Amino acid sequence: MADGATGGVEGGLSIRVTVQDGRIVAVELSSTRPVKLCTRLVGCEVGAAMALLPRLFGVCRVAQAVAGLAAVETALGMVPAPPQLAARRFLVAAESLEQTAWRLLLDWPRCVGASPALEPLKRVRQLLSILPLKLFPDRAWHRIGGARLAPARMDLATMLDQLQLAIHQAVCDDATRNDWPLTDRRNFERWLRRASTPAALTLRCLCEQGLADFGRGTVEALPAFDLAVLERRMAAADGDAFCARPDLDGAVHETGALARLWVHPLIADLRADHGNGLLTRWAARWVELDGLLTELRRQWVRLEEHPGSPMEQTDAGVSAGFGFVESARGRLCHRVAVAVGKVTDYKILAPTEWNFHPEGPLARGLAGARVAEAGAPPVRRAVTLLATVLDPCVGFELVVEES
Amino acid sequence: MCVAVPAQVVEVRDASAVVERYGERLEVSLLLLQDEVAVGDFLILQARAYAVEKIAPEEAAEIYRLFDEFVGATDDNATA
Repeated sequence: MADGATGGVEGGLSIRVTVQDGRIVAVELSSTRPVKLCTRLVGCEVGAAMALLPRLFGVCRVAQAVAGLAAVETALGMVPAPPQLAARRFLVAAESLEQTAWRLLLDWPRCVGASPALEPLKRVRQLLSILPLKLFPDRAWHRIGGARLAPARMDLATMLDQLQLAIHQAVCDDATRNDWPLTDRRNFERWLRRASTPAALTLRCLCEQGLADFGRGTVEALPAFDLAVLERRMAAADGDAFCARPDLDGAVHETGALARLWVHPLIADLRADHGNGLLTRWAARWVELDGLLTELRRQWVRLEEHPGSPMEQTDAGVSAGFGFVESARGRLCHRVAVAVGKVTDYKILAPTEWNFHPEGPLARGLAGARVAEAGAPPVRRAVTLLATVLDPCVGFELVVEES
Repeated sequence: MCVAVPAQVVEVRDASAVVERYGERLEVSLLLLQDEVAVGDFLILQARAYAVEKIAPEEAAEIYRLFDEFVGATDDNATA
């Protein structure tokens, strides 16, 4: 997301860092994001609420819709059929792929002053935009219980091949095919030396400018939490405050690609040398792209025709449900309360709340970082790179002050 | 929160367009858009810099209705 883009109805983040004697001595994060927008769903009939969700949250609409469906279906005691779940996971992976490709092809190169790869991104987006209609004949696939599913399996298989080719050419560089997949350090470093894609140029730039370790901090990956605990926290009287500044037992965690790939051989190896600094983080986003292509194929195998299980009634008694999705930016959690078929409470805990928490990975990674000594990175570029790889779902404005 | 509010095209340039929503004007790139764009169309933006989808006026009107009550009430809806 663009530095300096904080206005407008979407709101934005403000990152203010203070530098003294070559170190960042203070970090202030503030937000004007409309975090209570989901209260717009309160009072709606549950089916109508699910139709509104992707319209309210249009950037990661699939992840929002799937997390919302999971929460509502739990509340209503419904269990979607396995092919419906596979189709939803397929679409979530497709959306994550699009968002990750956006970062790698457009945002990364811009961070280091290189040209973005717009045409390849357009090609990837074009392929991904067709996928939902190859699964669900009806555009409104996000129905409680599942919509009619009629996967065009052969078309989808062809499109996955095309997608893989487009991603590999644009991000990996065909000339380095023998180095894939990047599961070990040797292959990664060889690819890094040889590849000429925007992703490789950005990573090389990080290394050459002494930024590989920048942003190292002590924040741990968000664990596989106890869902009941999280639901209880979101449902509590101070649930809004929790969703705005979450913690688990007082500790703030990070979520997203690095957290998901914490024990991946290459990422663990990079962590040993660079901690959770920029090189490790950017490499995790890169590695995850390949994982998302694999996830698409894994879910493709599970796709079958299914008539859907339209909700027969919405007048169930008082109940509540929780759902979550691993989206491109991290774990997205929804909690809904329902009474007589209508939403009585709706809360969303977005990944940005973990990663841009005042005690989260951005703030902790910046605090104390060296920035202005000879050979140390220019502060604006370094902070922009760290914020961009942590990937807030809105624009951010960066202010750097000398103390 | 991944909010994407539509914007209406007020001017089309070579590879960009000037769009407006809630009194705010932005120049956005059209390079990632699959569709042709004309003045009066409604576009979904990403990063306030790229148009990524053209939507029907009826859908835009519905989305505006959802957002109307939040615009101008940022003190109540924002975190600090």
